[in-house]
Amino acid sequence: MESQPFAPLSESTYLILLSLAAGPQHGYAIMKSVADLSDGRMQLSTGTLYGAIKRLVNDGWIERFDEADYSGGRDRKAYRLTELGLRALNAEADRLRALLAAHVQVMAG
Amino acid sequence: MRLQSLLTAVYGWLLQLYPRSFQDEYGIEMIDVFADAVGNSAEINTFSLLRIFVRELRDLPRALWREHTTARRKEVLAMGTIHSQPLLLLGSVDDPGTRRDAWLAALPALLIVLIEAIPSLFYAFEIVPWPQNGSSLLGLIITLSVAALLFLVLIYAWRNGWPRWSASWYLYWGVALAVPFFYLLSMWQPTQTLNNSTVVLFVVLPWLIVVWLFKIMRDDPFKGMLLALPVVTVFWSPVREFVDPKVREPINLLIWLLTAGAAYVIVRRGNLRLSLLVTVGVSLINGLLISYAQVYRNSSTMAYRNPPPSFGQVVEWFAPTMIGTAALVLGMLLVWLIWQFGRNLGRHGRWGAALILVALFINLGSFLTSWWVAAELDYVRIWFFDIDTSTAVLGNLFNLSLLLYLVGIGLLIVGMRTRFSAEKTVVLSALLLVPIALPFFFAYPFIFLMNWAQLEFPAILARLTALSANWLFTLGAIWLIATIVLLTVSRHWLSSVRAAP
Repeated sequence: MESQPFAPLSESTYLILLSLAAGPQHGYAIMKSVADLSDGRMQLSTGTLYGAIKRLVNDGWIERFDEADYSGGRDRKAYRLTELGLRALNAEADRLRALLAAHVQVMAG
Repeated sequence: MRLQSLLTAVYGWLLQLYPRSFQDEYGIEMIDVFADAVGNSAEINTFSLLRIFVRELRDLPRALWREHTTARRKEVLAMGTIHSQPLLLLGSVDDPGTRRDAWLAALPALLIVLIEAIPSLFYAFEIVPWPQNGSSLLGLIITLSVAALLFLVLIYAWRNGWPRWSASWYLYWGVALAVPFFYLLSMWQPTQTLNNSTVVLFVVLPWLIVVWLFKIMRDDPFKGMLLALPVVTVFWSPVREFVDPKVREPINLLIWLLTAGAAYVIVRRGNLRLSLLVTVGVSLINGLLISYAQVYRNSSTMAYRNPPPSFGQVVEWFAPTMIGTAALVLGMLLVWLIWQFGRNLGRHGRWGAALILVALFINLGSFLTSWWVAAELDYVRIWFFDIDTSTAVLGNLFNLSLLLYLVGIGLLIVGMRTRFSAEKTVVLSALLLVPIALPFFFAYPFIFLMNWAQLEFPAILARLTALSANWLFTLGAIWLIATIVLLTVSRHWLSSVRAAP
């Protein structure tokens, strides 16, 4: 994979990207996914969620689109991961994996 | 269910605290997500519903801080071109405001025309008799109506992200806030004597106003001019006291109509050069009208029946008023431009611009604070224009600011020498002298005209007492106008500064 210098991600950003890696989601679904992925430890408020979403959209890591099959009577915005976002997510996973490997190596003695 | 609806409604209100752009982009979605979240929690129990709301409240300050900071940073980035080529700003044309926006900008001044100026004119010309005992009910209705209007406009401006026209209302909202404050202060301390608390008020408040005006002028010069327009008029309005009402009231009416018209043009046209000329033009005309009243006042008896002043007498009073008001209107803008200009001239330029900035603040601040200084030194002074600079404190502050100006300009010239041709350096140096000229002409009549030249004042400048005051005043006015024309007409030529390494 093409190596690109991505800064380490915050936990909330990582979890948001990870939840979108499974497929496009709207805001509330992302919020629930993040809570599920963190075993309920990370409960995002809407302010934190949309602050992060705004930055990710601006950086081109995720994109926003109208969700066509929403049954609530009007269009609803949903988000999906872009190629760049996927690379950032994978880079962060690589970083965490390297950290974990170093940790295991040191602790194993 | 009711609690769920209530919390969603409150949440909707809280969203208004976010920057307008953020609300427009994500507001509806956020309400939907919050409604979904509380809806699902309500199915579990009331406690989880409340927990979601508390979580929102807990994160709100941090989210607000982050979004407002980001929005501000974007604005600053958008100003990047202007920062690198500051003089281009003077030729900038922004989106013209709508007619509604322009009327909203003019409305505060028009309100004064309707509520105060027109009735007073009717009384003055005896079209209706002077009210012997004003109707307290009518007074109450007008007061409450104006207060309600101010409040509604405040909410409207807030909901619309403080658009440009809202700057016309800043002063009125400030006054509305100050009235209860001063009422409480008078209850707490009914005598006129100064104690520490009032000293702090009269010293700190004017300085805060200067900094505030500078900030607004820097962020949006159009807003700065909209704010400066009524400030100037209010600042000088007390000179109309003890003037024959048949002279005073038409002047009052004209001043506020001109102010309203200028505000309308500034917002409607969105052209900075035009706005600058209109603002200065209105300040000049208002200065002339106020000076007329000033001469009347100085020569008045209580009978209010003096012969009209001659043009020469008016001119004598015109210049300090005009230059003083122009310093308030233009000083902030010019000094900000010089600051941006100096930043591109390397280390010397930065220091030079910083010194000029400090000097202007000292000058304006010390004049605005001089009411207290004079009172503290037992001089009986009533208002700003009654202040003389013959006190040691003011004289030395004035000297200090002059010294800072001169050193600052010296440093700027050193910076310019390496980046401009000799002829450009000369022209720019002449332009940079304007901030010196403004406070100098403002102080001149107090120092020389009244023969109050004090020992602290540099002897070389004291020799200027031999010059005719009118000539100096005329020179000051021409200097001021020529500077604006030069800065606006030759902006591209002047902007061709090489970037600092």
